[in-house]
Amino acid sequence: MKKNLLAFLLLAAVFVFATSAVADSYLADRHVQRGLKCAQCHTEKVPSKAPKMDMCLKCHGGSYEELAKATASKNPNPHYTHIGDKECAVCHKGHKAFEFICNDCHQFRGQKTP
Amino acid sequence: MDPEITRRGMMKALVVAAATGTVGSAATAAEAAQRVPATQVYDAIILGAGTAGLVAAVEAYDQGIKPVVLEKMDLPSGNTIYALGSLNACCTRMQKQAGIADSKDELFADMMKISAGQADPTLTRTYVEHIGDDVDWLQDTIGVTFLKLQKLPYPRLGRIHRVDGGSITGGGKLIRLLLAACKKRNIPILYNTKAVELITDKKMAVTGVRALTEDGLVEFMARGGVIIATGGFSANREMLCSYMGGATSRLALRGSPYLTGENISLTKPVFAKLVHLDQFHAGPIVSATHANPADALNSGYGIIVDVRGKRIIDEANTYVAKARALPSLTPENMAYQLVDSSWTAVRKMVDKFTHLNTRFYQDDTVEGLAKKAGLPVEAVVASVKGYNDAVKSGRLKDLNPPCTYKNPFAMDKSPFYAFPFEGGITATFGGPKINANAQVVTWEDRPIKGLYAAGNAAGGLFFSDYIGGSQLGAATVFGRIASRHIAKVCKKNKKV
Ligand SMILES: Cc1cc2nc3c(=O)[nH]c(=O)nc-3n(C[C@H](O)[C@H](O)[C@H](O)COP(=O)(O)OP(=O)(O)OC[C@H]3O[C@@H](n4cnc5c(N)ncnc54)[C@H](O)[C@@H]3O)c2cc1C
Ligand code: HEC
Ligand code: HEC
Ligand code: HEC
Ligand code: HEC
Repeated sequence: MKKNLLAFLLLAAVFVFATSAVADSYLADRHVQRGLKCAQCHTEKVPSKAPKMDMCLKCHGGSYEELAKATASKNPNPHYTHIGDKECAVCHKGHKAFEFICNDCHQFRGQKTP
Repeated sequence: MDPEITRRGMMKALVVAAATGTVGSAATAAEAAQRVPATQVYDAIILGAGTAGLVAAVEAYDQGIKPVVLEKMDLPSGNTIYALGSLNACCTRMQKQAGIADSKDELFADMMKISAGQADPTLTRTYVEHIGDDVDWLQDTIGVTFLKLQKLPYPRLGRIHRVDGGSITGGGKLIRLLLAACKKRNIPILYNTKAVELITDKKMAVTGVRALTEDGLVEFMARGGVIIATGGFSANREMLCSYMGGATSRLALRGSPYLTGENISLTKPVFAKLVHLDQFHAGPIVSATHANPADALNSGYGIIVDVRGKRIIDEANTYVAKARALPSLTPENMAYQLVDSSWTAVRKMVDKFTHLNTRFYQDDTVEGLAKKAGLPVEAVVASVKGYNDAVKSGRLKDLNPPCTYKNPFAMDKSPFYAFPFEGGITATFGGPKINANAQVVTWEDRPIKGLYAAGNAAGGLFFSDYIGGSQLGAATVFGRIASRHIAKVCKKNKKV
């Protein structure tokens, strides 16, 4: 029984790893796959820097307070914290892996890493 | 022709054209000039968006003058956002409502006592005279809610007004409320703007500050004054090492990584009197997760051993003293608080460590505990036995090092626990000395015209230790005082 469970977990882990390791799985790609244009995040003519939070918030709740309500059940809530309302892109990288900056100082676990 | 001169000349022409707005073709330069006005003028220029800076900004505005806050990071990033959020105060509305008997004179005497009699008595007196009104002001004007007052051991007593942070630190909540108060008043807070140099006039009065922005250096000129609210130098290892010595510079950092001593580097060139530079506050910390085991160190139970399993310090010391001494007692700056289940609150500590995914060890025997923690078993067992025997024979004072628990408990109730910790620095106390008006003074004790300091940036009020909650208290008291004085100066100048 235990062995079967372990085998299942290993398989599941491999599966998750395989899907998240495909090259086009970064935040920007996932948005593009949903039909978004580069310009819906990037205001500059040729994209060159991280979009400001106002751009993200246009589609995600309108304000940090509203966004925080959506994740209020998380512990800790990543969108209402003692370090203040950070730019989204410090955690949600566009073309790189998600980076949970809280863990520079803590070791919170169990966050989905979108 | 010297090409350098030509380039410079051309630049000058462009800047002049941009400033006067006469040449349409100089569009890029004009744009740049618009983004970076060479100088900006305000009544009060406040450096740092911590408690002291933001309190000063709100007070300045409410006094009818025009403040600006310059903050070097993208958000308030000092110690306030990490703070528990306690304010040490007497004679507040809350104290009166709770029927707590306290007085300004008693608070004054206790603050002087905890600072080993070395705090500046004038500043301490100023603190106790104002803190009651200022805590009421935080409630009324800023909208802070405090938790119910509790009866705590001396010297905190019924004085600890703790900001209700909800799910975040009390300090983090305080900053959110202060930012909201600034926003309501349309007070400009310029982020990514780092003060790098004070500007003085012919008489060495401070008239403004030069700051580095994303677009280069900008001069901010002050009609009334400049308030330094940039915190201390706990994150500046070079300063820690030179003012306090190598051991202190090896303490872990409990709070902000961005407090790098601009309170000193900005004011030294104008001959500010720098005081208490060797003084700081310390506390235990697990730096990997920022869990704080202070309650275990203050419990009055158990012993502290180093990685060799030996007792290293009199456990009866305060957590402040124990954390402060750790880097000079052990090269690793690392120790273990061992407790048994006689300490009834141990579950709370376990829950806190678990919640923060912080390593701790638990076992039914001392041997098993030492093994799990990776400590030398024989040494740990000997340390616990030595302590227990001494408790029974009443000879704790003969241990090496002695233990002076007034009411000692043997470690005999399983399970046993080991909480690892490092010594950490909370904040530095040293800085430019201020007077009762929050004006920075020279080595000759003369106020420097136009220059103020508040919060952890200011020197004089803190020495040795403080009653928990006095630092946020002082940031509030002297932040308000500085702005009230600047407002007075501005009004006087207008009349002339
Ligand atoms: C873990 C922890 C818990 C604590 N708990 C408590 C408590 O419960 N009660 C209490 O009274 N005290 C507590 N303290 C201490 C308290 O947090 C500080 O004393 C207080 O926050 C200091 O406020 P401040 O306004 O002086 O500075 P800070 O809050 O440190 O703010 C300084 C600001 O200045 C900015 N700055 C620095 N240099 C420049 C520059 N050159 N130009 C522009 N901006 C600059 C910084 O980025 C920062 O935003 C605690 C500290 C720690 C670390
Ligand atoms: C034009 C609208 C739009 C903008 C702008 C936008 N998003 Fe999204 N985002 C979406 C949509 C649509 C989804 C999918 C929603 C869903 O599945 O509920 C999504 C999903 C997400 C998700 C969760 C799913 C995933 O793939 O990770 C995150 C996180 C996210 N966005 C972050 C951001 C950030 C950060 C920015 C700014 C840099 C941003 N978004 C800008 C529309 C937008
Ligand atoms: C401190 C890091 C951090 C910052 C800053 C941050 N987020 Fe998130 N965000 C997270 C984490 C972690 C999650 C996943 C929470 C979970 O499911 O455990 C998340 C989830 C999300 C989701 C999915 C929400 C859902 O319902 O599942 C969206 C959308 C999102 N973030 C948008 C934003 C936007 C927009 C900003 C800026 C305004 C932002 N985030 C800033 C860490 C962050
Ligand atoms: C969900 C919002 C989002 C979308 C959609 C998006 N980007 Fe980005 N982009 C970012 C963020 C955030 C950064 C900042 C760097 C990072 O986080 O990877 C960035 C940075 C960049 C950069 C600067 C180089 C770098 O990596 O720092 C380029 C170039 C870029 N994006 C191109 C594009 C192009 C081309 C598209 C359309 C195919 C696009 N982006 C769509 C969010 C987005
Ligand atoms: C620069 C270091 C640092 C960063 C980054 C940081 N924190 Fe903290 N955090 C601290 C400190 C210091 C404390 C206070 C610990 C103490 O009591 O001494 C703390 C306390 C907390 C607590 C309360 C812990 C308790 O006692 O229950 C939570 C929750 C928390 N942080 C969440 C976060 C989240 C979420 C983020 C990311 C958005 C974050 N922190 C980023 C340093 C940090």
